[in-house]
Amino acid sequence: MNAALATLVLLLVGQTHAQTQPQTQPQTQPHTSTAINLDRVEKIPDVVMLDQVPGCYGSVRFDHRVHVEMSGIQGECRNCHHELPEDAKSADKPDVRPCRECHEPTGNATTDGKLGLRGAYHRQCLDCHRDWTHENACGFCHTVSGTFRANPALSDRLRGNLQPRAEAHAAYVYTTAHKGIPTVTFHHKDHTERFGIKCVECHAGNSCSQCHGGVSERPLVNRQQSCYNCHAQDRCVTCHDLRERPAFDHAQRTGWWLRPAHAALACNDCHKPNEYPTTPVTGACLPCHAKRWGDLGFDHARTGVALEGDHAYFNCLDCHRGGNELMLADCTKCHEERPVEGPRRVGRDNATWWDARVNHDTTSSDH
Amino acid sequence: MNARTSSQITPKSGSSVQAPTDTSRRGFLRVGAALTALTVGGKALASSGADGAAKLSEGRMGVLVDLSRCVGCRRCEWACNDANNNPHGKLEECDDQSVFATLRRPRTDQFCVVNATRNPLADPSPADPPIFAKVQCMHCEYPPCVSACLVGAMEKSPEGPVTYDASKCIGCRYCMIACPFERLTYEYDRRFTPRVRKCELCLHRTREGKLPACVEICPVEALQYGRREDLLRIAHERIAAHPDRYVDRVYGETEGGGTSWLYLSARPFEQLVDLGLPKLPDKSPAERTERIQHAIFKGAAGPLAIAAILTTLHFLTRKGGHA
Repeated sequence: MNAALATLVLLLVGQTHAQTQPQTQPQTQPHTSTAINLDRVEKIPDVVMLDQVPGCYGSVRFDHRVHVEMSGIQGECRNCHHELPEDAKSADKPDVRPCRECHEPTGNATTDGKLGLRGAYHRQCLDCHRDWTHENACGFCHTVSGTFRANPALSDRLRGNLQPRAEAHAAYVYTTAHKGIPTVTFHHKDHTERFGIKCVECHAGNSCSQCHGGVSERPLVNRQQSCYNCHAQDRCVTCHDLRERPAFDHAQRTGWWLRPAHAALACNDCHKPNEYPTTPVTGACLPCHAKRWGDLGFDHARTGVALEGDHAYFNCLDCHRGGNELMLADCTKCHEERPVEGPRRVGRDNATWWDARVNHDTTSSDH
Repeated sequence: MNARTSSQITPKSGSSVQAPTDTSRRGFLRVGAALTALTVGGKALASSGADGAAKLSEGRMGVLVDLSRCVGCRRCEWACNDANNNPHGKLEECDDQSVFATLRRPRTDQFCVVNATRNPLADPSPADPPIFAKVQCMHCEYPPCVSACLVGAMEKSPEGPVTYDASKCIGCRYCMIACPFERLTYEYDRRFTPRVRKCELCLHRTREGKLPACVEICPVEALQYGRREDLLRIAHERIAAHPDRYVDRVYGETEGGGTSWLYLSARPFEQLVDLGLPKLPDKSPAERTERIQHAIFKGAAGPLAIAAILTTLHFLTRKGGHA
């Protein structure tokens, strides 16, 4: 990918007399990450002078780097360099070409539908710029009659407050065609802040201004497609309901109350990344709780079973079944399974009573 | 049918000299004469449409406007004024969006205007961006103004544009009444040499190999100049490729019998009527009037038919009088 971007650099520099920083040939390293990695694009031109189109206006100083940084949400290089194949991200050497290589600097769109260079530039730029400012604001990039001078302060200005903050409602309530349970409450805030889902995972197809130009009242993503990325295996009622739902409550939805120490954790600390709605916690407690719960000051008595006597010496998985400390303990390893009455009861609830006498048929001699 | 009817008429009108009192024959003759007139007229009617189509040249040009791309910069207005020696200010003055507060029409000193579905200044809501539409003379395929012009001052040129020759014009302004788009303007304020003013698709530029001024300056290339045939193909290809972006209709393909200016839009054209894209029938109004006119006068059919009827009547009444 580095090599690819170097190609882009060299082509752009060669074609546009850009005011770029000195170039060096980067090392080729395989990258598989889908999110844009700014380390990889260090060698792209910072600034490109767009001065090939004759006309009433002077050249434009295009801050290429700023735009690369912003392109992560929407197709990376492909966002503008649309000739790149779909899989350009993982390709070793995508053929990144400057606009003018295909688009003619003079003339009108040709009959095969290819735009001239001026049209190509303007469509790319205005798509976002116009949406933010609500006007064409030609003077933002241009000055008339070639009086434009490269403005070093421009990129600082661009980095500033031109782009309004991306905004969204905390929750969206949709009425679907699902019979019986039509209402879907989508808690946007939960997904972005609590579940840590990145914007690009759902909004890869949206233009900048759709999020940065104020809160949209219309759905910006294909709901089913985006939701199914995570919820494909879920039942309808995971999302659909008779009425609006409150925000996600771990205790209510899973039965597992996040006591103060756990409330501070991120989902991924216990669950597999991006799979927490469907995967149960397995082995996630041990990294923190080490061999014994007591080591971290955990009072096992809070679970309803006080670890008294010999129990204090056991490891978690000596009792808990299936190698999972959240599964119920298997008392029958040591204890006989029969209901008893009276003061010797040690069971965890009223439904099951366990005789505290050790069953020596199933117990090793050191216990 | 025509030949047989004629062959029936001639001998029988001749023989009627010998047999004047046969009333049934007289009736038959009347019907025959009427039929002859109708048939001649009908044939002329049928052929006039084909003749009209044959007049259009193969390589006639047009402009395709992609309304989904127009950003309302109004640079086309400026370039149009510049190319046609109309008064205009500085280029930056086009950025003034307050003009969109009203719907405008071309004027004597400005042949094209850009209208918007709503004033973008009043409500800059990104959720509902206004649609802009540049309007000017549409350069119809069968221009009613040309049809209505008494002196041939209006002409459909082989290149496509409808041109105006002020030296022929007598100032009757029938063309203005005939225009279904109401695009023609008249210099009422010029006392002695008033002219009709309209876009001529920059014929003076295109004959030099340049693009029309509006097309040349359009920053987003929402305007595309080319052979009308090619533009129609491109338009339909674009609709097919992006059915979500365009309504499945090319305005100007059939409106008013077809126009040289073609429009693609993301919004139904019914919502853009006020901007200057009226709903029109598929036939040019000129086609109907010309059909009637041409049917009556083609090959002197009308006068001949009347002469035939009058002659028949004359013979009949004379014979009746002698009898």
